[in-house]
Amino acid sequence: MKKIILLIAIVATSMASAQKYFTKTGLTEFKASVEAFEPVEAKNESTTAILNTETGDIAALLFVKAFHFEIALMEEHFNENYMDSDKFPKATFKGKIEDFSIESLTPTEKEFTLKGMLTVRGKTKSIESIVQIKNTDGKIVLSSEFSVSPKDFDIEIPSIVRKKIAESIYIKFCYELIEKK
Amino acid sequence: MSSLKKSKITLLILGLVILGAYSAYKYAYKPHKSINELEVKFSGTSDVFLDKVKEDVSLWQDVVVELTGTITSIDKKGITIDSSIYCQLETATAVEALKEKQTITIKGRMIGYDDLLEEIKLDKTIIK
Repeated sequence: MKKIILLIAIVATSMASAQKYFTKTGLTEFKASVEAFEPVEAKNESTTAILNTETGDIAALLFVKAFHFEIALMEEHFNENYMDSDKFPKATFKGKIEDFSIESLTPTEKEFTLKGMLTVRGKTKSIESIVQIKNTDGKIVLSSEFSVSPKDFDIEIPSIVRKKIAESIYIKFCYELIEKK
Repeated sequence: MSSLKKSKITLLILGLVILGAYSAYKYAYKPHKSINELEVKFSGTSDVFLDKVKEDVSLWQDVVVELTGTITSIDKKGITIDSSIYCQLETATAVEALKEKQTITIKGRMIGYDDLLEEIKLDKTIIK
């Protein structure tokens, strides 16, 4: 009997520790602006992200059409001409935060290394970046910035607008994760 | 050519240039379409919609839908209907007036099927 109770206790604690933190409304932004031209930037405020706090595994998913541009016409061109978002509606990231432990987090930001694979337009590229993580009132806040090139994802930029779109595109994210119950 | 005729032509060209610039500006800086200006592609209960999406999700990307269902959870920025459809609200303050287990009709833009959380995602949602 004691053994069974012990077994149940072990199973229960291991299940409780397989914790996940998530968000449905994470912010992902990108900037491809060139000075002196119209800013080319957009925000996606509906990014889903899930973090396994036991292993540091992280997965994120966003819908390309949910990127919001200030200029409606730019949004149209982004979806139709560059991202082909009818054919490739999603962009995903799967990776791992190295040496992650939820116990080490504090209300002030700490730096970790994030490694993973970013898939955009069906093309996958490996990404390595520094991610700032803090824990405030049970919320885990991750933020990071890295850059990619349109060529990495076979995005062709017509010569007529090449000068107006930056060679490297800055991607920035901030995900405020809460415990998944 | 008389100077009067010349100035008339100049005026005409100037007028055309201004008109052209104005319409180009209007085209380039047209405003975003609000959810109410777009055609509603589906109207009905959330479970019927769920079945349709499961059949072929590609038909339902970036379309406006009107759904009726029961609120199963509420967070800061949106609500979940029938545990399967997450609706991100256009104005976050609209959350305050809502309660769980309440039956509501919403209108929003379907952005896709989220396979991480296994739910449908809408944004720009307004409460009817």
